[in-house]
Amino acid sequence: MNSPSTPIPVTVITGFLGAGKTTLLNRILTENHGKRIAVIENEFGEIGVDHQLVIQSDEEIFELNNGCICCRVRGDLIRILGKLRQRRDKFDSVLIETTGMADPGPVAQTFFTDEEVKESFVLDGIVTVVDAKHVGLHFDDMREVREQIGFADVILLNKTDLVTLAELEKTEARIRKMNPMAKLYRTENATIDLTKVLNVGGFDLKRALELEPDFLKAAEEEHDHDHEHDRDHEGEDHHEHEHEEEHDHHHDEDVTSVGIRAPGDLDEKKLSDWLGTLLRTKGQDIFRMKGVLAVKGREMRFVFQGVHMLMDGRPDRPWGAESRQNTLIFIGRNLDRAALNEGFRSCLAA
Amino acid sequence: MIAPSNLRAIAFIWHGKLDDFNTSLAWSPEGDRLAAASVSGQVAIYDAAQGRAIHLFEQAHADGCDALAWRPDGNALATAGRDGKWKLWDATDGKVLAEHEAGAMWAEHLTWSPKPIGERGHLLALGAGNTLSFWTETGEASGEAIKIPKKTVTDLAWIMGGTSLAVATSTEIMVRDHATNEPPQTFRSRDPILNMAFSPSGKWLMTGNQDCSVHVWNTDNGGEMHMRGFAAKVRQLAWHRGSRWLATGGGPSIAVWDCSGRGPEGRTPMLLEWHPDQISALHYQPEGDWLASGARDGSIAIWSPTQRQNQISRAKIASGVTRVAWSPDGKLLAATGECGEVQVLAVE
Repeated sequence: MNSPSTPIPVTVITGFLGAGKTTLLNRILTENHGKRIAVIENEFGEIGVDHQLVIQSDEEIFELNNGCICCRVRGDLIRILGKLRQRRDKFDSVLIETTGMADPGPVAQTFFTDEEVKESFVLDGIVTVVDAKHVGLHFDDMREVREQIGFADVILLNKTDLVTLAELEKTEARIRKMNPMAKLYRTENATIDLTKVLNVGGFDLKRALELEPDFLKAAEEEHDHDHEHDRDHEGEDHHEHEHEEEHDHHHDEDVTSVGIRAPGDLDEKKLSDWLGTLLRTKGQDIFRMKGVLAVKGREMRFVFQGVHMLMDGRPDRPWGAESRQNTLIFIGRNLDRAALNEGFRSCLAA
Repeated sequence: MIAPSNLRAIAFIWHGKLDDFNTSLAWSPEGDRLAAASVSGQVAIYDAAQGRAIHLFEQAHADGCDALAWRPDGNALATAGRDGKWKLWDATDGKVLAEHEAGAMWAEHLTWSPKPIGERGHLLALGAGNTLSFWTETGEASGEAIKIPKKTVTDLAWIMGGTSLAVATSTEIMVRDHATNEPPQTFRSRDPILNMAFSPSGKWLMTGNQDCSVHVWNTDNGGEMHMRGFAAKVRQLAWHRGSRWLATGGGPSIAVWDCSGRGPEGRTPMLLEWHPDQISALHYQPEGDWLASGARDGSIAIWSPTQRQNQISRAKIASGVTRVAWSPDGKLLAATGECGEVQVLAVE
């Protein structure tokens, strides 16, 4: 292209119909009026700002490798971004508004697998707008709502003025269980400081673990809860086993998170084998993952992040005075908490 | 690699400049004029001999012009762009003869039938998003627009005698003869299709695909083959007039495939290696044997692939090459660039 310059950041805005995606989009366009922003929208949205480059697109999934879920990309985005890059000196960022029914997976994978797209664009973050009033109705019957929450880097719990504080806290707790990694903000009318939704570096390894200090709390709480629950039922082995089956059945297709935090150094070979097998066999159920790991014999922290089967990892910086420990989080559907913990433990160096 | 002293000199005949990335380039049927379009929306018509801009349409299409097509009589030029419109311009006085909505936000593909389609005359096929439409020589709609459900038209080409139109989407290519209205022939692909090129004989259909492969169909029997191992998506497919040789991009090397007999699968292609960057444009002489290539670093080469000393000449423009096109008589080569260059050159 014209010159090798830094890739253009892309923000994806998802959320169910009526959650407030377009309101947020219009807010970004209005408040960032000094910047040139290209908008790719999938619905006939009501973008109210003139002089912006708005492209409508019909979601078109490209299936590769016999339709493997982890290889799906968005053909429409590849085509549109390919044309936009021809004039990339003329805009500063790209916003993609998905339909309420869109799967964020293919959108994200487009930015990691398509070489032409990667050359000129970088996915900055997935922002999911949630309707605080109505999301309760959709948690259970709309797979898309759970997926959009699971994939998010930032969640706006919007329309908080329409619900009671108790309802809000209940909804928030449920969202936190699905995705404790995302930054969550309560909003009315999608009113938010735009630095909270733009340039969040959601897929940036350098910022992989800029997580809230207690980000694992929700993911670990569920674990604690299980134990308590088991104890209540006087968990002898047989009983516990049955209980787990029930538990799994009940949560079929559910989006959950599994957080692991443990001291100790990991064996590099075992770690690589475990992650490789995990992604190959369970990658289609893993939406997002992030982690910082202590590898035996390595001075540097090892950081990684991934989407489905795609993983990006590298040494980050020396541990220095910080105590060496491992922090991982997986978000996805039907995650097997016990197996993930067991798999992780098997990587600990002797 | 041969020593530069064995190369033939290049004569830079003239150059023009548009104000941004050049998206399209088209010689008039007689080769006396050259049209070029830019992502800024500019369209220029140059006098091919001197390079004088006969017309410069500053805002032919807001947000960019993506397609140009000369009407076969050479008296009008059709353009389409990112304002969702297509226009027909009088090439002599520069006036707009017709202007229509194309059916989507971006109108990207335009092509005139080389032969008249019955009483309707030469037809212009237009692809915009999922809409395919047809227009007459005077710019009136010919029949209803066709909506292809959930698929974008990614390429259009008139083939086989000039009355059959091939329409590519990501999953299939459909070929319909508009003179006879026989049932269409369909070629389906498992790997998403990006672009296509039929051999001049009509026997071979090649596509470049999302997974960096090239698919090949023998249209006589529908047999399909795949060629893999490309470094990048193969967006450049150029046929030799004899239908035996196909040149492909998809990385810094050009591969030239022998398509005689049962086709290219399993054969080792000739590799033309010199460009330091990815190939971005390829074109064979319409009536000759020379292949022109351009790359993203601005390098341009002319090859005679089947000769032992296969590189004929070299040149360079200031920014990445976006298109190369030989004039109809093959004497002039036009190349366009990412910064708007329009360079016309000749091999001495």
